[in-house]
Amino acid sequence: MSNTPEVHPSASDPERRRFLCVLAETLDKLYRVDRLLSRQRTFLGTVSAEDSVSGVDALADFLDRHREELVAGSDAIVRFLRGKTSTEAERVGRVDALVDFLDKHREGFLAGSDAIVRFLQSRASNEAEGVSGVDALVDFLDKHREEFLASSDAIVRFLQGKTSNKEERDGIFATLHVLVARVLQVHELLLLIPREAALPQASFVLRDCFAATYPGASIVLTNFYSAYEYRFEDILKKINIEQEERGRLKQLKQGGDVLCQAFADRDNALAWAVLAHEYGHTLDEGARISERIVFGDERPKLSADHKSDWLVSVVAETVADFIAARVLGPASLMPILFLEMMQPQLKPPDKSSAGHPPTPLRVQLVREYLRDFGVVTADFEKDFQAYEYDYKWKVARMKKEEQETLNQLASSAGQVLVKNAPEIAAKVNGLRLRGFDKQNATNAREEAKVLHKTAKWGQPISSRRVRSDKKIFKALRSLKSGVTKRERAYEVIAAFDEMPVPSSEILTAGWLYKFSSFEAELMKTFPGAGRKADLEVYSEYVERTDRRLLKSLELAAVHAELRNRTD
Amino acid sequence: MATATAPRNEVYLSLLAARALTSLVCLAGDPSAWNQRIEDGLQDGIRYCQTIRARGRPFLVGSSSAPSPLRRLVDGAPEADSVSSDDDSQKVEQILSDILSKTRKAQLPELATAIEFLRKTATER
Repeated sequence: MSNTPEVHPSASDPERRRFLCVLAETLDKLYRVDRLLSRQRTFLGTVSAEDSVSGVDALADFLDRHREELVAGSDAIVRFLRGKTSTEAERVGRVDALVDFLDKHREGFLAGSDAIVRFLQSRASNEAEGVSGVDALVDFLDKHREEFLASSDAIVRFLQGKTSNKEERDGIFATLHVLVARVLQVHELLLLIPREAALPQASFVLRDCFAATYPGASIVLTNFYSAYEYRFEDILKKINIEQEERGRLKQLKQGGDVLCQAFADRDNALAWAVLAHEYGHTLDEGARISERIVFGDERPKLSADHKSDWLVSVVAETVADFIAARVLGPASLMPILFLEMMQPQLKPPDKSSAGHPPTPLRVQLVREYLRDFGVVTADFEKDFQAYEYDYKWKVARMKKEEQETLNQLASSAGQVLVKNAPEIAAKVNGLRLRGFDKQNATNAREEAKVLHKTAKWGQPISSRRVRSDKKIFKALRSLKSGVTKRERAYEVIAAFDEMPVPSSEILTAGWLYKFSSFEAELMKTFPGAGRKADLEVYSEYVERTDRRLLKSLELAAVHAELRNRTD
Repeated sequence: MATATAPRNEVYLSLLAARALTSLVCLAGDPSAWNQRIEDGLQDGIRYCQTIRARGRPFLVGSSSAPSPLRRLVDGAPEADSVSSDDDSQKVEQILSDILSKTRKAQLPELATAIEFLRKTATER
């Protein structure tokens, strides 16, 4: 299945793999932020040279016409005000005329509103320059992209394993990191422009993974790359909603959970594995798993000490990790690893990060947990190694005292979590989730092959036959005309039936497909031999993959719905 | 995506660092390489060092784990320890100046120092 070019003997080298992962993830995110900004531009519109009517003109025209109409009826209004209207019909007539007026002009006003938006947009920016805030962001990214591409010869050398020394490789990485930092910075600024809605497929994934226990949760897009979750009720408490009001909103305790995902990952189904982790927090809070592990069945006192808070936090993260791994398998880890690899440096450990166990420890615990279900992570091994390499590289660049704090944190979290892992696993298994098992992993591998084979025509992987083609052919050959009973014939034909593919397999297959194809796509993007680097090549690959996975998730959800219908 | 018709800023500070890095990558690959682009990149690197020193701290230094993204955007980055001292930026500026004035050939350890300084300061958010 591997499409890895053969010209690179160091392909298994973690340093090289790490470079490929970071380069791929950066181009992926750059494309997504570009596309998002492009949609924003379309939404906001731009002031066209042919557009002779400004927003102010439209407003003025609207008010003028309204005023004229009102003045035209002023005699009747005077009579109304002085109680001299002759008939009820005349009184009603005034109101009707006003309604009629509004109806007639609503259309005209709406037509003018586009011009108003364009006008306001142009005012919001510097008129002399004639650019909007979105244009400024686009320009910012364009310039950094151009500068990054100025190093494309060196990138080609890195890709082809021909860099002359470590300093050159570090330099190439540094140029990549500068681009990454700017993409992340622009992503944070997206909070200031109109927000898009999450795709329904993201909810389909959660519903499919959590089945019976999934009551639905809102998914909103945010400017943070790391996903997070919160309960609406908690927010209400924080803004001092009266107790009485909160009582009326009790139903929000379950239905009011909000899961957040990054703006840029709106179409990126592969990144949605983080939503399973976030929903894991919801389940944990509902069943008080982490709290019970730390405090037992007694509810903790309101002012639990700092150490207890920390204990609950690290256990809660592991509970959420195990829940995500239970429903999605190893793919649940991948978005976190890629996101962390893309970050130019590790966050120095502080109060806010203390609740998260160090990622290498999380990876180790999840892998051990999955092994109990016979789910091996060999398909992801190269990327785990690349992550380990990246983590060590970043730790080595931290200040001494930060390294020490990090080591202490890792050691304390390790002691607690290794000891509690069996209990956490038992509690998570007790949730009776739709588990990702060995068979799912095998199926996903086959589906990844289909993604590869059918890449040209973009076939989705939403369903598969219940039985293999081989078994179907064998059964068909066993049918004898005039001998086989009708029931048996129908039984054989029923094997043509197709089952929807679970979301967990679609996402896993998507990751496996990515692992086996992104290197070749990067090579096409940076062809070398005097040919110019073309980022569009990688963008098209990302877009094609997105489209196929989204279509697969959508069709699988519809298919499952149809099969469940009883009418 | 097309470039905006009229950019707000001719030069972004992080772009100066990126240009300097491009030159340093060229020199690391081939220490005897020399062209206008390398020269311009080194100039930009010197401007970058001077600017961040004048500002007193690297641009946009802050904790990306700040609890409120809005607060962070609106209030600006909180004060934080400088990731590098003035000494570092002066040292790197000197390296870049020497290479630019061709008083000495680019040495790999010096290039590594300059690369790491630019990477670290230009990627702090």
